Amino acid sequence: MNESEMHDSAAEVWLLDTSGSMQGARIRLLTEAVAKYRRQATGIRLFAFSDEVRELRSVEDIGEPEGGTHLHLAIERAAALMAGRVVIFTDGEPSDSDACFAAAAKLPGTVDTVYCGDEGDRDARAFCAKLARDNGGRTATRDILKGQSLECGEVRDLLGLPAPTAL
Amino acid sequence: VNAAPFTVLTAQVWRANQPGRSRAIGRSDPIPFGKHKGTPIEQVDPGWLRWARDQSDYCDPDSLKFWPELRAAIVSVVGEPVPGEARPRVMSLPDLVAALDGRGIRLSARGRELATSEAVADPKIEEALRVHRPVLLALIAIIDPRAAPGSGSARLIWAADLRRRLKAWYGALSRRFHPDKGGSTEGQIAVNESYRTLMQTFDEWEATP
Repeated sequence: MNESEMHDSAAEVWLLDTSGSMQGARIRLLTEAVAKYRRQATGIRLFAFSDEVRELRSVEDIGEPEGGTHLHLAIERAAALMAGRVVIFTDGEPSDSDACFAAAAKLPGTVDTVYCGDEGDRDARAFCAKLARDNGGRTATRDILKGQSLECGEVRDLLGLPAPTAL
Repeated sequence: VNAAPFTVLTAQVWRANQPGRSRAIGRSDPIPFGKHKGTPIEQVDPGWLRWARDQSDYCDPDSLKFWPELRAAIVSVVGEPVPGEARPRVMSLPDLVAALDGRGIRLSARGRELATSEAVADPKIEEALRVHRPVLLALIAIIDPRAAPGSGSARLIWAADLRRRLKAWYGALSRRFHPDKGGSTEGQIAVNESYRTLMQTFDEWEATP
């Protein structure tokens, strides 16, 4: 990587699932949590993924969820940025799991996953766990529609953020 | 595996990213890592201090910023090891560099190839080598048939584990050296070049039956 390539690189990337299944409370809860976490973190680049991938200047620009879960496109984008770390927030299995594993193998850095879908969906949870395990990362499961908030110690620890200080 | 040049962080890049360098550390300063983190050095169990003193390969990049000073403070409490007492976990740095040299891996900085003795004698290069130590050791294992499993599932498991370690190593260095995280463009370029060279060597090893 030379100096000009460095202009479009990233130390850390967060990928937010905006597929159709995220409609309603899920996207609202995810947006609220990521907005808070991002204020405490530095040097994070945000991307939304569904049928396509787009970079977000702010998490509030996330828009209405729709379309499929083409996570592999988002991971490929992160790989092109030579991301040192990728954190994926998703509520289910992607459209193409094998393509995701192949894309993640090309990532130089680690992959952490935050699964925020139905905790009874074993396949989706297993996918998230394997993606993280194979790529040197960790996974957290929070069924946000059952009241398991994303703003918790488990996710905060996974993101490497300090515990909130009491006022 | 063919010999590969390995780019280490140059002295200039390293110095630019070492704000805590040359920090004076005394006996009453806290231990910055491990189970005694935050405890003044002079109050820590002497047995643990002797263990910490002998970790010549200590690999926490944050602690390494001032490792020589920290070790000196520990030595002021428990003294230097008596002959036969010290048990370094892995080979010493000069031995490591010599091992690389003996396997045809040339160290370079800013495009200039370094002789083994020159690399060890340069304290800035030595610091860079210490941070790279886990990766350099992995590199030795790759090219040393006695260190890496030669075939079967053991080889696959070993390779998958090493790949995870390399990702974690790259991620940690990126979060420290990338400009987005307060580092510098030059520092991150050096990290990326090192990663690519290493992965190329690793991929060649994996492709070898």
